[in-house]
Amino acid sequence: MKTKIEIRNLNVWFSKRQVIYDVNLKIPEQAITAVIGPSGCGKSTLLRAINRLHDLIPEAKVKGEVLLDGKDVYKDDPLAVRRKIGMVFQKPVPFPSMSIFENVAIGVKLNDLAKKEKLEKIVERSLRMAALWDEVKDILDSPGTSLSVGQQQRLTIARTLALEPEVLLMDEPTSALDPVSMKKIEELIVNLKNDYTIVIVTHDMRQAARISDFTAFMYDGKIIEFNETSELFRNPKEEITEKYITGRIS
Amino acid sequence: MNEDEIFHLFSLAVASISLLLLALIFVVLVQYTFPVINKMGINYFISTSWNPVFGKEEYGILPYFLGTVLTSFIAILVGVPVSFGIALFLTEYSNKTLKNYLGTMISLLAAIPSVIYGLWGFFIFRNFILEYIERPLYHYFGGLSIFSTTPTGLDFLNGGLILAIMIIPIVSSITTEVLEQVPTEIKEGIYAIGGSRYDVVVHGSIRYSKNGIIGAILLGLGRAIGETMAVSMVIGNATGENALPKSLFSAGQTLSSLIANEFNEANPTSLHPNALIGAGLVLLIMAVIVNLSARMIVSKYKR
Repeated sequence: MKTKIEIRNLNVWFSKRQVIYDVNLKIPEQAITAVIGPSGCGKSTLLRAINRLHDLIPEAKVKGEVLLDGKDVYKDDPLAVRRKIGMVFQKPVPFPSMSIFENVAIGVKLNDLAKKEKLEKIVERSLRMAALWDEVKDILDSPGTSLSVGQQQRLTIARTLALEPEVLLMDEPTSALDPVSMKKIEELIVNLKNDYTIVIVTHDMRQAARISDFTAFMYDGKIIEFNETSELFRNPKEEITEKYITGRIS
Repeated sequence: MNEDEIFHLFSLAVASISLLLLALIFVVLVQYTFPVINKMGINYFISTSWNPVFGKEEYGILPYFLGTVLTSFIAILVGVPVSFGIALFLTEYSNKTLKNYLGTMISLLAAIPSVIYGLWGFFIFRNFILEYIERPLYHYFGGLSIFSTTPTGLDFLNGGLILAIMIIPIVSSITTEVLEQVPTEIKEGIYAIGGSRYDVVVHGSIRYSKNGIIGAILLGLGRAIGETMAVSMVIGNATGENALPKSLFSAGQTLSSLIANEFNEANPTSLHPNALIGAGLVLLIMAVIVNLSARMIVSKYKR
């Protein structure tokens, strides 16, 4: 399988506290890679290093390389990087005082990627891909905040897809949702992998087992083990991985 | 009665007093204003004449009302963008240490007694704006009516600019507070779709805090309307017809500066005190309306 993102010797500090230690990881194209591990182990920090979200925090320092198709994102324009590498967050928050339509269209507008006539098509396509179109096609002018939380999360996925990114980063995208919404999003993620490279951070091991092709186990800021998901869960090579997946550490 | 009940009653009584005071002040102001309205009728509100000489008495507060509106308008026009810049810098660009220092310095501006602003405005700032703002504007654009008066430096512009400085602490601190409440998820959401810092501010922070920002501006307006000392020292203190705002460079008067300047000379047997108290009533009503709407907007926002 072709590697889409290669992380090389990545280290991240917040002020003087080191959070990520020498991470090396090859994330395969058009597959779902899950990052699991106990809370505070650095999963989200690792994810945010991929689309350079740490740039915004003055205390954060990132060292190492993140190669997207062989090109270091830290030597690219950060705005362009974030267009190519979309991100979905744990808590879905629609943009303030924007309609459902505007919520999806905003990224395209901000980046001047399409003319007005095309915008409607992009919005429809994105909402369809996010499995939300049928529920909102008649209320596109209603505020994004009027949707249920589960719908809001699909809305934020749609707004990310509108930019036609190559990679989707998902930071515990279902942990704020009810089981029914969670199931919908999981189905959606599995469908999206045909077109996208997906990296999902989750503290729910069963979720990783259900939907991912590859799994990385992180502990204390280090990647302990990375393998095909079925292999990692069936035959963990490291003792600590086994302890984690059998619930003896959390 | 147990301790709790006594304490409850006591705090209730103390709390009621402030409400009672407001009502009482309002009633007394109305009562004292009545005689002058009785004599002047509607002219008290729309006339420009002001003559406290016994036997020839005439009172119209229109020029001072307009003076209050004009100086407050200048204050908002100049003070709000500056406050806004400060708030945006503090919340979006500066680091924590700088933010603490700068935030404290700016709130210290509010601790400066207003008479000091007045002194500075009269002796120093006056010469500065006369030399670098008013004379050049008058020279080149004297044809425009807003710049058409021979400048002296003691005028609506000076009053308005002093007020602008004086409202910066409150407007910038409330705007900062409001901007700080913008959820990180919204900001990161915009960054994550390739937005720049500018996009985050315009499409995220400002949109999210619209109401709070309007509230902050109204609170600043409330301060500008009521501020007395500094304004009365720099506004030129014209009365009657002369106090009508003819240009930014004409001397004038606000409702509050009128009261501060004349209360001491008002003959208690004439209607002069009543005319001044009437100006106070109008001022109070303006201030209450502005402050109430500001607080309503801000509290609605906080919920």
